[in-house]
Amino acid sequence: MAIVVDVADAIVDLLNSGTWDQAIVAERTYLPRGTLKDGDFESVKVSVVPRNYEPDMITRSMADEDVWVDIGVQKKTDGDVAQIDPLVSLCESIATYMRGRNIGTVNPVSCYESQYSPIFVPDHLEKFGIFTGLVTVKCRTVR
Amino acid sequence: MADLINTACAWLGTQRKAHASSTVTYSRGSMSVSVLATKGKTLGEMSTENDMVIVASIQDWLIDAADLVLGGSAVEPSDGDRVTDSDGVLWEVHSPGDPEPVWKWADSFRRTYRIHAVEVG
Repeated sequence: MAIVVDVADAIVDLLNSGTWDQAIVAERTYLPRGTLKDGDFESVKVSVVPRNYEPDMITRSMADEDVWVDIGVQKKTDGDVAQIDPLVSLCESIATYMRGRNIGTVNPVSCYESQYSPIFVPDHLEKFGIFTGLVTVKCRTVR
Repeated sequence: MADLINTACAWLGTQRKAHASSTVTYSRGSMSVSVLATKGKTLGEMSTENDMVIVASIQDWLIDAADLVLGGSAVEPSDGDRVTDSDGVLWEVHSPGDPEPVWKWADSFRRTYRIHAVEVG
């Protein structure tokens, strides 16, 4: 399996086995997509999407391999701060949880950086009442 | 001299209401009112941010300002209000995007609201 798929799957497993302030179900996908009228955003929707792959030769036979994975967190809200704050906390918790974490795949992979940006997407909140937060995790392995 | 445009708009408004509208329930929290509303334009909407796609239908509703009375008071439409149409479809009032507000006047004489809503169920 491609390293990007292995890393994304490992992140899905980590998220689904983690303990969070609210129930989440993470899913790996290439095109995170939901339909408002079908209720796709009534519970917290977590989409894990491989974003970037950067191999970098460190010797003639070994390479650093960087994999960036996006973790999208989405939920329908009524726009109230009281409903949005816990979702911001959830995103922040995910970013903190992932940072520095070793994830078990065929090769040791270290998540050396995580970033929570944008904190929310104003357009989604204004037009649909949907909170969208994006955590990007950067992981590295050596092969 | 009578304002012919104003008079014509008022007449058109009564015709729209009498012949091109259906009864909907307009609600805000626990308050609701049955009003006659006309469907405006419908758009399929896809909003993408970092490749995260939200698919939704957007519908405008034309409702006479005088009919929008909640809790005994005339109100202006507000973000998060809901419209249940005659087919039972649920719509939620939202801005179609900055800088457009959630509603605007549908006529020059401030009789009818054009309210923007998205289908939520």
